[in-house]
Amino acid sequence: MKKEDIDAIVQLLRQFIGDIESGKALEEAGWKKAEPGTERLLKELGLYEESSRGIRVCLDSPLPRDLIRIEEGDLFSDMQRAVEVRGLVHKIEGDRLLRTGAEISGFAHMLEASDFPVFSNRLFQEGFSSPDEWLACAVGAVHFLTSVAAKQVWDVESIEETFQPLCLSSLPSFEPKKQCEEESADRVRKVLKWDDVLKIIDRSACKIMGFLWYVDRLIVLGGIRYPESMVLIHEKAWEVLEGKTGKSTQELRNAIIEEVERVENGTLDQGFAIASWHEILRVPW
Amino acid sequence: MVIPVNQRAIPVSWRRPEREVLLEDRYKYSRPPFDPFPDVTNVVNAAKCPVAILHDILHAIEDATIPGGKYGLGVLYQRFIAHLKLSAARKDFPSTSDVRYRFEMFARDENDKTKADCWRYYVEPWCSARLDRLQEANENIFFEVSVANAYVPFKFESKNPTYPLRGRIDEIDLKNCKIIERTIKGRRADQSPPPLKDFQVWLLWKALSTIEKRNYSEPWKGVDFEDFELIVETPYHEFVVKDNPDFENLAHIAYAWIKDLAGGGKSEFEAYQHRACTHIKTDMECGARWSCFGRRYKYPECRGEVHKEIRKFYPPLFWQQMWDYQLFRYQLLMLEKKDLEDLGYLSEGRVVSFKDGKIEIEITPLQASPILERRTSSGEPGNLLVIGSFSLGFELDAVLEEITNNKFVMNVGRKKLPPSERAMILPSESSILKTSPWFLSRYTQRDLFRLERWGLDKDENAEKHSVIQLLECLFGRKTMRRETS
Repeated sequence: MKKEDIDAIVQLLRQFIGDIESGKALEEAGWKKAEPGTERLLKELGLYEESSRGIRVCLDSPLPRDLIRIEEGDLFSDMQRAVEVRGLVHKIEGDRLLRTGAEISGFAHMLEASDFPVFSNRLFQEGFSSPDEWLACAVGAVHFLTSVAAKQVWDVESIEETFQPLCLSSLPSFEPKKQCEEESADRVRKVLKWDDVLKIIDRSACKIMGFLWYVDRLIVLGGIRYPESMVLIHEKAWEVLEGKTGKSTQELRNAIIEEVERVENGTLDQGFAIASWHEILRVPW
Repeated sequence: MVIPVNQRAIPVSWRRPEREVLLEDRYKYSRPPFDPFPDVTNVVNAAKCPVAILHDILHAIEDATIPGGKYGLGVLYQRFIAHLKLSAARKDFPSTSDVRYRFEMFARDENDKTKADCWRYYVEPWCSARLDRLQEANENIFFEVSVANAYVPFKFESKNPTYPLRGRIDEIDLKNCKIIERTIKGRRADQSPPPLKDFQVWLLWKALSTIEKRNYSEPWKGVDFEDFELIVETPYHEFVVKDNPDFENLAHIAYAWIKDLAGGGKSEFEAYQHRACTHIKTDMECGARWSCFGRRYKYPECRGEVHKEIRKFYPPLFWQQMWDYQLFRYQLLMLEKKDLEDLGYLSEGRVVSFKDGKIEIEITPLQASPILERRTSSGEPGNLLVIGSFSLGFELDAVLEEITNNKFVMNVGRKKLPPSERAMILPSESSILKTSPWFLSRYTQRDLFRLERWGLDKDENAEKHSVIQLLECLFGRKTMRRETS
């Protein structure tokens, strides 16, 4: 591409990025008054989009390599991928079966990503010989722990069945890194007082955490790299939750923190907490 | 974009540690049941931009108002100006030709570039503007005065909510009633102080002027800081700062961000939603610029997975700092002397002499025992020596050099200290006995973040780079294999 062509497109990309960063909605962002040269260039590159507000770089068309090499191009492409992920969030929200699968899948990802920080005396009490043995077992027990949670929270007997709609829609679902035997998984359940935890914690808190962790998984798999792009997805996810619960993002966050504090206080062992629950049950950062 | 005050839930209610926590009767783990004890830099970072305080809390960036790489220059500059003024107070006035030599001698341990830059950009302009005013220097000027207050009131409508705040004042001139915030920022043509420096000196004054009078020690007793003039001093100019109601609002917003980001009430995405600058309009002077707009490398390709795995460490590392360090700050201000002694943190002695940077302290065997225990167990000679009070005084790194009978000789370096009989000795901030060294958690945060952001662009370089390849194997989809020789 010629340098002046690149410069012309970069101006449009900057317009879009600037608008998004200043809080404009996707539909409102990036429009500029049409100029014949730029219009022709966008059409040639298959990047043309027009509306009553002018023209902009089309959000659905991939940028040429020459543009992706430039920072603005790289960020715009990242935002394009983020827009796709937003679409997936919208799709999941509108389908009860997809949503259940996503929440359970996300809940499992949350557990898997925690590394289960449990206090060592608790492990030894339940017969684990070392933190290494615990970690190996706990990660292998994520599927089992999620299955138990799914029964209590989502009234679901088989989590695999809830993953089916996701698979049919080509959406990712939880695949355990490894799975330990049921006997070992049951020891993990005892260490964590998992049944007590599920009795204490509010169902909707589990669903919110699961949903947000699933969205987080989509961000990772979507290869989104810029926080500015991630904002687009998080905004959508929280908007969905706010609409569903009628509560603000801050109220929802605080409610989860309070729930986890209840879990922490409700599972004490001889006056001491058994685990750092805020590192296990949490909203993705 | 700064959120209008009425759109945020402010003033925030600040959680201080309960007595059980202060006395360490509660096991230190997980999310602390109290809010941070911020210093002025944290509050200024938060006022500057939510993403700056995010990087401060999670990724351990320092002062976001100073561009990266200039931090050491500022320290040298500050120390040399203090040295000049202290000399002048003793009627030792350097001439214009002499001052360069004095600077060279003062900075002889620094590298040539640091010395040359510091002289050219900061000291020389300062001397041009003020050398002849060194006559004003007097015996009642003090440098690097520590202030801390767990309950600083900030106005909000008819209420006065309080927040904790601590900091270090660059210069207090008791005779001329001035508080000076000295900065390397600023240009010759400036008509106003560098951004947020006026807020910074105002915060320090706010913390200072709201300390309860009973917590003042000599020579502060009887001083009314309410009436002090606040000055931001750049290498070129002095700007007088007036009390400004906007500062109160700015402080509330800053504290709200600190509380929310530290406690999980908000996260990365909300901070980015309200970032003060953008890709298109970047603040070139921001110390967090690299963290926000640093280059995005193509490799490692598994960067998303790296981020996913690493980010979980940031909040617990911050919580660790809160347990290890910020709780200690609350303890100093909120516990009685007896409690601090029982915890083994505080020993008190009587200053016998202070000469050539060495302070001689008389101390009873009972008071001396925690210090000696620390020294025996860890071989650590460092202590934190407080002259004055924990609210207002001097915090000095003191190295125990000699013990004779009931006297300790500690090296604190050449400093100007007020006459004081009372010396309080605490574990050094980096004490490995008190807790795990909190600053290591900051280093870990910083290093992890650098690893997340580091990379290479060229395919051929990335293919040969062992760290990139290792990351691709550990976090990505590449299979690790041993190379045959």
